[in-house]
Amino acid sequence: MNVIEVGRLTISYGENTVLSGVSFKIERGDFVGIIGPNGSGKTTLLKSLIGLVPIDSGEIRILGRDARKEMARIRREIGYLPQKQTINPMVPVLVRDAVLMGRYGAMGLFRRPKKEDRNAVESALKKVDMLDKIDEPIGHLSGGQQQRVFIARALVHNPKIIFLDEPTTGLDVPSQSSIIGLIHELHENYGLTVMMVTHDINQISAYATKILYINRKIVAQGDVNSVCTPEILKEVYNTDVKVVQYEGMPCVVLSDQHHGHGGDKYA
Amino acid sequence: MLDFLAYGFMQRAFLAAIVTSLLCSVIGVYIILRGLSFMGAGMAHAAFAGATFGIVVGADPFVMGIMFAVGTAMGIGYAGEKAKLNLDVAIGILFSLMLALGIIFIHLMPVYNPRAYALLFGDVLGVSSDEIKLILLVAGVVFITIFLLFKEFQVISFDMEFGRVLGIPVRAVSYIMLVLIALSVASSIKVIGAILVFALITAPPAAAHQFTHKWNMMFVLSAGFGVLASIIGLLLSYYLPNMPSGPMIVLAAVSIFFLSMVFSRKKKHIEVIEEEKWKKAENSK
Repeated sequence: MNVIEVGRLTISYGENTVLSGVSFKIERGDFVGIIGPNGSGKTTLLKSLIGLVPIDSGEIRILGRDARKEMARIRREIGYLPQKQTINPMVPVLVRDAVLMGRYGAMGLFRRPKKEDRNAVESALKKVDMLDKIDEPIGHLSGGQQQRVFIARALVHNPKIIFLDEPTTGLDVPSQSSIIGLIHELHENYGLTVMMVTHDINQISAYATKILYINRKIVAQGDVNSVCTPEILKEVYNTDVKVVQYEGMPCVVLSDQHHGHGGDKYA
Repeated sequence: MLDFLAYGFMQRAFLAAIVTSLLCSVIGVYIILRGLSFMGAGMAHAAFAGATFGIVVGADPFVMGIMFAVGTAMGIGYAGEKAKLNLDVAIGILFSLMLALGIIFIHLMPVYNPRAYALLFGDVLGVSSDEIKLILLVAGVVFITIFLLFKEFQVISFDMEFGRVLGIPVRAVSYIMLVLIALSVASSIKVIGAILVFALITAPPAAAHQFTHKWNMMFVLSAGFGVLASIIGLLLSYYLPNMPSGPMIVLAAVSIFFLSMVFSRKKKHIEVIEEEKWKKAENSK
């Protein structure tokens, strides 16, 4: 069953067309990597799916609902992990407060959190193995731990699809690996559909069931083995790369000569 | 000890100062956390211009001050959305404009009017019963709105984009917050003055921020520091010869802030955590 259907999607910022004629379908339980260079429109695509960026034309259906007309209902069934830079570090919040925020949308205006909301916070923190940090201030946690908390915030209202915008940016290598492992676990254990923007296909090649290569349009889509070829990658990144096999999975490495770039405005 | 409370004007002064400091220190939490301090100062000057305009045309200065401040808040909010220039620049231009307008309105008054000058530096001892009622009314509106929108204000302060995804009407909530800031600042200028109110909206929450990691506790501590500053300031101005009350309240508020920096346990705690993180990073190399 398709949980996301996108048809002929076009998005512009002023006169600058960021995405053009994008079409794809995502099935329930897919783990999808949205991959492309800086400025390719991958974050714009993700934000358009959750109603943060208006679309010029085309169609988006999430869980069978028209995203233009029923976004309020859709939002109750999706989770979102924004890029880390959107958070105001000045604001003093404990881990439990930060995760509880994920329930605010479903609570509605003027309502106060109830016991079931607080229970949901504990349950979400348990899923990401951070229950012991529930009373810690967010600022005391490492980057990787903070990201786990924000994933708990995205999960706290039991969404069917989770949208992640570069969840490993700014983390050291062990933390990156730990976060990707956690996302894989959530996908496997709870049947979540995962839509994840990332720069690095190598991070998710072992787990992703589908890859969308974006460079202002869909350059290629399919499973990892079918789209991870030097030809397609050359078209995406406008640079030469090699694809080698590592433990049975394709692994992308830069070749000696690399030049060219995408834009950098709409990453 | 409490002999000063035998006077009606002192009772009104204490009530006005306590309510005003509560308003400023509570709304100030949002102001400092969202980086809106300069905007608060701009609104105070707009309220000054509005109040002096009210005196010139014979309208209620309190109400006119609120109208100017709210109008400026909406204008700044709109400029923040639409303008291509940095918001600080827009506020700076409006800030100067409003101060200039206020001074022009003072010069348009046919005779020297001490009420107008009191709007700049405050005159808590001259607060009338009607003005107290208006301050209480504004405080009621501000506190009830904060209570109703407490979680929405928290989200837009912490992570506005996430608030949008939750379906919170972020734009409307942001404008409501700006209006509450304008109401709080405008209703305080009679007590503390348009120039000095800046200290009362920043010092108590900044002091509170030195001590807590908890969102709710920020408001409790900030309100406590604000009320403490107003009581200490008023007492000092009563017992020390010839000392103005508004500046004494500000002195007390700023002193509390400096003391909070010295005695901040949070700061020391953060230093320990940073050291631990650094050691961990070094060991993992």
